[in-house]
Amino acid sequence: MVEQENRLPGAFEDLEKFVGKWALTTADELLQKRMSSTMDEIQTFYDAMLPRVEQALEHLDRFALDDMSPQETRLYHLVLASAEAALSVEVYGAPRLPLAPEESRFKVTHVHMGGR
Amino acid sequence: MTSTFMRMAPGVQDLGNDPLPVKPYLCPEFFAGERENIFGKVWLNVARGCEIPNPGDFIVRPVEIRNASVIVVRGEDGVIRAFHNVCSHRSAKVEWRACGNAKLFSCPYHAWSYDTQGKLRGVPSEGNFPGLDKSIYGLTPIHCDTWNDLVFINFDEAPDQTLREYLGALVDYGDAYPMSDFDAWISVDVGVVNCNWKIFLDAFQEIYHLNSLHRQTLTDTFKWADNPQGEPAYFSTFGPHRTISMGYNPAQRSGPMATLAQRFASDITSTGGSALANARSSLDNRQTGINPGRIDNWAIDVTTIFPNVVWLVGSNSAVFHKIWPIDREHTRYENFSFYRKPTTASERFSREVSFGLFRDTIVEDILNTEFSQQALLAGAKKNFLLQTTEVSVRHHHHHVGRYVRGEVTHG
Repeated sequence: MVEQENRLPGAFEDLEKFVGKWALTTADELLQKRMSSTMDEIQTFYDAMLPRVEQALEHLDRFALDDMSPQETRLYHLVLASAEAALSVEVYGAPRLPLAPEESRFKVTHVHMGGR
Repeated sequence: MTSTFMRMAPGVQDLGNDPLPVKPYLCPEFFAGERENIFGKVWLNVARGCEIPNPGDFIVRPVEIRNASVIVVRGEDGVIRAFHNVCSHRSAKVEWRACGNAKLFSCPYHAWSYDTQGKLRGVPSEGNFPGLDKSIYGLTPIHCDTWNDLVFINFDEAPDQTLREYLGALVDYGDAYPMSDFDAWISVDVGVVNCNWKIFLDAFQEIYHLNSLHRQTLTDTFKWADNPQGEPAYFSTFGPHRTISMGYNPAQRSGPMATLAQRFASDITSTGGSALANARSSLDNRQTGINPGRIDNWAIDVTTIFPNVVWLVGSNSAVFHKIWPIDREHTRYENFSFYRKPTTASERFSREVSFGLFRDTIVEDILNTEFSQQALLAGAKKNFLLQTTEVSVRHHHHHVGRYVRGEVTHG
């Protein structure tokens, strides 16, 4: 069962090991994940995703945002997570910013933003 | 060294160079003046029309400084109206949800019900209210009007200006702006921030702090070879409203993931990419008053709709900082980033990259502003010092002062 829940579309099998930790369904979970990870964990995920993101987007662009299979949805969430990881790797050089308030101090809500 | 970069619009009055006294941030009488003469008199932006697109769609918003709970609802006739969220029976709170769709608003206390145009429809045991004239006991209306999909309310019983009169030259500035194209959004609800509302607003009206407080997030977005300090390019005013225009850095360094995202149009925190260039050119073609200084490398206008809303006017997004005073020392902050609705994963990815950086930038201001409030309460300083490019802060205080002192009159 666990294997089933981690399944990604065929060409992206190599990324399945990241699904459990990074293919998170809500923005709050994802932000929490980034901020509580070590830089090594974020870097490992980012390094694995970077060469695959463009191909993943090309694959996902063939589907409507509100009509993806569970496999495509996982890949979609993994791609969005790579955007979050990129902030730490490409911009901040850290999991969180020095003056970042606790995540519990704000709530992020998405409306008409494509399944999240 | 004095600033020579920023140009001022013709006719912008000299607001001087004096230090700014902190007393208006602390003084109870001043806050009472703000409550009556500003938040009780002027038009306040509470929503976008796209938040309530269908008949019966409503939102409930608190306006603490007026002790008000406001229902903004699109009626069955398509017209947007605002009402006090208060039952005519014994002043109970009628609608407890933050948003939704309703045919009728039913008060939980004694089940009095009102339609979406505010009319009283149902009264249980109506016969026990002898002579009750339901036609005069609807929800109490609040003046409400819309400009370019922005919904405004006015708590004055008889506003002395229409919304368009109040916005003045801001109407020409933004009339042709394609606000309605941006109908998908991400909101950040910060809730209560422990500082005076003007301290928080100040932080979103000047960009002097981008090089320091936001050095990790916006490090080289808005500065370039000729403008190494990233100073604003232009300052313009529209009565009490104002805008500062910022230019983009054509040589902005972006990481590979951010560069990929730019292909699909991002905004605010990134200024490159062909998709954004196309959006900018399309905005130029609409001949709006946006970018009033006609800056070649224009990135964004930071436009304050007096008194409490800062609109980040972009070519691919419209972002609103909404800063609501609660009391003298507490403020409620909410942010809405409106985008074109993403139709593909690529477009959604680009917004994720752009928004993530923006989110982390705006919440960086929270702890800083709360410390400043503590410092004022400690009596550490009597004045703020403002440099030339913080003129928007000066302009705000100038107009707040005029309203509080009762110097603003119309008709």
